[in-house]
Amino acid sequence: MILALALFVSACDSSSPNDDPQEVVAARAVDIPSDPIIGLGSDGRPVGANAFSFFSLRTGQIVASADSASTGWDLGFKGSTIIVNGGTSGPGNGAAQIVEGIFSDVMEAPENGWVQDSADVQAIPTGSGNGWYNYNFATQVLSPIPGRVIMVRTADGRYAKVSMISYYQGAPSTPSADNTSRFVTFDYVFQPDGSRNLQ
Amino acid sequence: MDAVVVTATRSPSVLRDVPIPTRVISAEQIQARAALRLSDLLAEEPGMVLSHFLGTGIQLQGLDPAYTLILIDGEPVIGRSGGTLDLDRFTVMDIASIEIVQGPSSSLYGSEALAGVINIRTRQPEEPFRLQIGLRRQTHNTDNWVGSIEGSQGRYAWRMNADRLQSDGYDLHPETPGLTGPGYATNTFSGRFDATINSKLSARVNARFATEDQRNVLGFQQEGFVFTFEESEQRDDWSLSPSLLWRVRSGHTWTLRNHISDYRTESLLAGGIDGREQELSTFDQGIRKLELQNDLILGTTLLLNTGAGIQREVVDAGRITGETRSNRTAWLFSQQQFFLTEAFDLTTSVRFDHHTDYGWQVSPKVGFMIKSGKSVRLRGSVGTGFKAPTFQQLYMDYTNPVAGYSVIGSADASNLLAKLIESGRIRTVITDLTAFETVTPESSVSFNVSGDTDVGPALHVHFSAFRNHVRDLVETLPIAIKTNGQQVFSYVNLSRIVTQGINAEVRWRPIQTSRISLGYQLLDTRDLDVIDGIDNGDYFGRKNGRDFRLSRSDYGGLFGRSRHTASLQVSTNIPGTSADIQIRGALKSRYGFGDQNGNLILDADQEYVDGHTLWNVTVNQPLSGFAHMQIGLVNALDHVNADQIPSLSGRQVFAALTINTP
Repeated sequence: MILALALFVSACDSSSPNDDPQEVVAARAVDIPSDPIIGLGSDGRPVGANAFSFFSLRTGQIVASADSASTGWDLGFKGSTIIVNGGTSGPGNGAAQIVEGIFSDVMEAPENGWVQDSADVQAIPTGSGNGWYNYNFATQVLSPIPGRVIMVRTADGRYAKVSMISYYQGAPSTPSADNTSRFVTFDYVFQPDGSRNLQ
Repeated sequence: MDAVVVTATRSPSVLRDVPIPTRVISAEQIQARAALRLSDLLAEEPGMVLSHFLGTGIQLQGLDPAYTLILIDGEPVIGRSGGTLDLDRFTVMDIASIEIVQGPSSSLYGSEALAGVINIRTRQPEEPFRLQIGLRRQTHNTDNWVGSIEGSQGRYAWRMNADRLQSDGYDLHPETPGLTGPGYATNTFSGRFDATINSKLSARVNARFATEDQRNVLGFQQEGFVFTFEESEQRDDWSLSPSLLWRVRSGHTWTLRNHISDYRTESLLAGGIDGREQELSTFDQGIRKLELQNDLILGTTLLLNTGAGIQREVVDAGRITGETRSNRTAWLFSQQQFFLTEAFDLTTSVRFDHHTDYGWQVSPKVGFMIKSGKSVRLRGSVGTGFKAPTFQQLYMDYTNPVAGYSVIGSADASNLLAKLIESGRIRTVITDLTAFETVTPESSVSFNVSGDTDVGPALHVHFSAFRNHVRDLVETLPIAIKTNGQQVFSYVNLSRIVTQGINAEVRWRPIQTSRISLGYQLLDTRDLDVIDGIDNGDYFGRKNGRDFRLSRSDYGGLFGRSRHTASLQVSTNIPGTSADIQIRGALKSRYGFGDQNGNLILDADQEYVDGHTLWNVTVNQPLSGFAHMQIGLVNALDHVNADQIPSLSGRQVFAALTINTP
């Protein structure tokens, strides 16, 4: 199968989105705000607005939070937490699971093993080493774990795979605690035709 | 030149013929190099690498500082923080010699003597009366005052030492609040009293008291906001060691030794963005030890050393369950030194430790020595070492007030977790608690071989090789997730590592007034579980945004280990003068700093600290029979790496003057 690659330099860039792709989308979402720091809390520590950024894998766009109760988004980002549009997190059919492997080698979404967000468990687990990242207490840097691919079932039951690239603004190659955090960059491949084929 | 060493066999032995290889740094070398602290001295020795984590520790045979036992006159020094016994705590002014035994010595000393033993031997009173005072001034407003007084009269001899070191500290990041190396003031008083009661009985008392004050402003930036905290720490430690020696007859002695020691820290962190936060933490550790040893020569071929002892240890700290915990160890050791033939000695030893928390530990060791002539020596040994779990690993009960995560000791993990579950603070339990066990000692099996020979009268050559298999290393693991999303950690016996290496050293005296020594170490370290993981394809790296499976050749081993280290020491008279100059260099090849790419292991180039060489220079000028002047450079080439080696200030200059009674 020959695929047209719609490669978006920036998902925030609204100049070239394809709102309703018919073919596989392979793109990089750059610097999606993940509840960035906006000020200081009552305890004097930096806090964000405690709000998710909602992202649509179909359009490659951030969805307004007013539409958070819709199926118009697939992944939500807040700090290092990622939610799917399903279960306790949203009205959609979204689910996820993490597989080990090389992003480009994962050709097919799994048939089974899908997990939805619930009171007890996150589809994409939080905590250092549990899901998509490791946190280094010594350097205070959060790094995506190489070889972990987030498999996503979207709100409307399509399939996608996601590889997290960075937690820091501008996706620096060797981030330090001085970099501005809570801006995620990730690669993804989205299959709009409903099949599990992610080639 | 025939120095007598005591550490390797817990009994006196001529250095040249000691069955377990021992390295000695003599008082003359210590004096000539003008080191300030024990750490400065050890850093210049081949195969010994400083590491900086909660203090300055020493890495022996590629193993962390927690695995080297530090003794003063044969008695253990306490006060480790995160496994590191801070070697900056010890002045060198009262040291007569330092003996370093590499490889495990748990068969004689028990816990902690896994990578080796470093024994500091203090100065004995030698003169009828002698007074010495000195002052040293150094960059960063560092001042060191020293004074000692000793005397002997008939059957009594005594010596007292005082040392004060203070410094303003240094700053490698002037743009951030606080200093990189904080200012401090430390005072050490030590003394010993020797009494010869009669021809068979002698007594000795050693005492030491040290105190340190350190203050700093801690500032860090988080998301563009600057937080500042004022941090102050007070450290006090003291010890008292009376001992009694009874010479029953020639070749048969009994030694009774008592050792009482206490180490206490109090640190206060105050400030935060609104100045309201305050955290006081205290730690108080005490030991009381009593030991009896018998040394007996049987005929001409067997020397027996037998000992038994008990020790009680108490820790009082805000961060452990119940605040005060104690445990007891009792032990028995036996060593047989067989002088089988003119050319072959065999040494066997075994120690049994019984500990109230982890039960029995048996540590055997066997070593041999083949001798040829006066100088050719080939030594080898197989032995085991162990390290007991720390109080923190057993009894910790701590919740970080800022981040909200918790750490609980393994001995109380089930109880503490049950309480957390009862109070509704746990969302998910990760570990099967029925299978959760109290951590047991980490243990090792080690192989050491070494050879020594004189090549002519002016050249000595030494080589050695070692391999350590250490298992049951204690690691922190998350055992539960709290309702606030943070994790609860505890300790488990988990990983297995191997460290192995080769050392070579050449000591050359080209002319009577010059000495050159050159040492080299090749070191290889690895975590065996990581190796298994790589073989299973479980480890990935990322290069230019693409993931790939790691192969063994991508793995750089344990963090903080240089593959190549070398040391050069040159000491020579400056022609036409009475002065001498000492030049010492210590080379480290690149070493792992920390994970950068999320796989937690050392595999990518950006995870290394660049290799470097540090040079120190000292010039000694005797002024007359009763005065001595020294000038010198520390870090002479001004090597600085502010981000990765904050413990290293730039070049420092010093001048010192010592005056003593003739």
